[in-house]
Amino acid sequence: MIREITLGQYYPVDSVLHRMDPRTKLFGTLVFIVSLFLADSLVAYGVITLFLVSAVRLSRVPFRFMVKGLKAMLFLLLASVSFNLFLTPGTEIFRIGFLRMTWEGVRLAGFMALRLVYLVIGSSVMTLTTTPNQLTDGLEKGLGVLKKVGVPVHEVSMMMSIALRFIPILVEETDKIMKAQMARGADFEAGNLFQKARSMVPLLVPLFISAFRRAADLAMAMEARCYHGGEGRTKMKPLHYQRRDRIAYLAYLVYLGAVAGLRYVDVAWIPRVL
Amino acid sequence: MPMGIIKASKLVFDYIRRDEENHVEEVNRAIDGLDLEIGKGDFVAILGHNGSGKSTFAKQVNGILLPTEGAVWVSGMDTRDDSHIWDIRKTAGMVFQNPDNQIIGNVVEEDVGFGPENLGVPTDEIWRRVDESLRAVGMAAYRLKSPNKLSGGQKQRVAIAGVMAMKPQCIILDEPTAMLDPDGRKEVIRTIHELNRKEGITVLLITHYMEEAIEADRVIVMDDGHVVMDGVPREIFSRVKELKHYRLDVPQVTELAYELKQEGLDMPDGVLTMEELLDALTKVFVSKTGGDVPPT
Repeated sequence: MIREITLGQYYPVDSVLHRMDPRTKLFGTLVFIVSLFLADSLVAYGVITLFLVSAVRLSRVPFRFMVKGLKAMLFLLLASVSFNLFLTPGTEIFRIGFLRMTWEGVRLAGFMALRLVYLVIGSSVMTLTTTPNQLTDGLEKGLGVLKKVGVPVHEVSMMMSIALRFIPILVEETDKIMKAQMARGADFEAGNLFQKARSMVPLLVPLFISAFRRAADLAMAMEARCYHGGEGRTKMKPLHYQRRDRIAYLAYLVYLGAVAGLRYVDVAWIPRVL
Repeated sequence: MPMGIIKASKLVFDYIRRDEENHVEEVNRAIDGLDLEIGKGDFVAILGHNGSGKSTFAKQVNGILLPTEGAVWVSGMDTRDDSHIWDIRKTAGMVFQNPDNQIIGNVVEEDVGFGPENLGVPTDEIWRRVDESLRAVGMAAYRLKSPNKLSGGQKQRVAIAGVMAMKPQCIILDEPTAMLDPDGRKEVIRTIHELNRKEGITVLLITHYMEEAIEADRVIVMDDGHVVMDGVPREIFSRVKELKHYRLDVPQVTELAYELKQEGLDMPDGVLTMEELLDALTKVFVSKTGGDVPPT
């Protein structure tokens, strides 16, 4: 059962978004998030919806995979909606005790929910079209400028990709240790949350020991294959921007310009909702 | 005489364990005055039971461990010379025991490319090397697979390809089959024999399975940090009693022939394969029955 955990939710189909440079997608996600917080009118939300819908269509990933991520967010979503509903001052609709629901609250809660939902779907578009490997590659190259101020970008991305490589191995090992201990009468199911957590301790100790041993082995194997940091290293799969990436950046510019424009340009026909 | 590709002279290595205040707590001498020279293009098997110093020696050749006394030269380069360390590791590539703990990439081809990437090889040359090495170990069909989906033998072949991609002259394999099933073991041994024959790679196979040493050009037996036996397989395997003294298991066929000889049958020394044993037994049978060919 424990093996079903999959990391990253990459959906393997061939699309423009799948083939796009991971840096472009990372930057696009950033632009999208910024735009969500800039939008303060229905028209702006219309532009955002248009952008999101076209990204989803371009990715060729079925829509139900996009909303999967929302399940994990449900609690947060409900909490933020109810806070906004009841704690926003304004025209009262009704009240239960000290809780007052207001028209302003309804509107604010609606937009807040929309914002969160869009946020999840927007980042899902990226994770569904990019493998974890491409993502670390993109981060390494995209954040390369930080190297100049002493951030160990290469090391961090190497650590991330090694972690990705070892997660399935350690999951399998956890499974093995669990079974070995269950065979000797250990019980991981019974008791309340606290007792369950306590029964995990004998599981974690051997797991950590084995992880450290693996780390020592791997470090030796990496040294034996001449690994000596990012210095002087070449890439088997270097990242190059293509035409589609340049087009995407242009689209980001237009999009962000439109959303920001709608916020800061004072035009009478745009009703502010937030 | 030209110097061999690997040469060890009066090599001594101590594992030193220190306590928290950095005082020496325990000194374990793993290699004790080892002299050894390995010729270019040879397939050499190093045998020895646990703690004989054979794995420690392997790590000396790759410069992962450095000599306490004496010296090791790889292709004329002293391993203690810091400026040559990457050249040494490139010349003498190493494959380890645990297949999982030496694969770095998340995709087979990326793992094979890891070594050349570290050496600063240009991108198109990396691709060429990855292609060649994966073909050489017969794993080209799996290049886009995740290493986690491969069998132990396949993972070890990927690890060998990863070393091959650095264009080494010599491969050191430190018990590469210890964690594999019999099929995977055969797969790996076949692969390294092929590399030795076709590409002329010097192979240093460290193992405690005697069967894997039968086809080597030379067998070295280590015990307690010394070389105790050194010769061609047939000669080494004829010394059954001595091998047992060093706590090594002799191949079943060899042992049977040896026992039969002890019982007075006319058997040759150092029988290595089933066919040889059958031949020898047939001869014995013929000489005893006077010519009738026995049923096989």
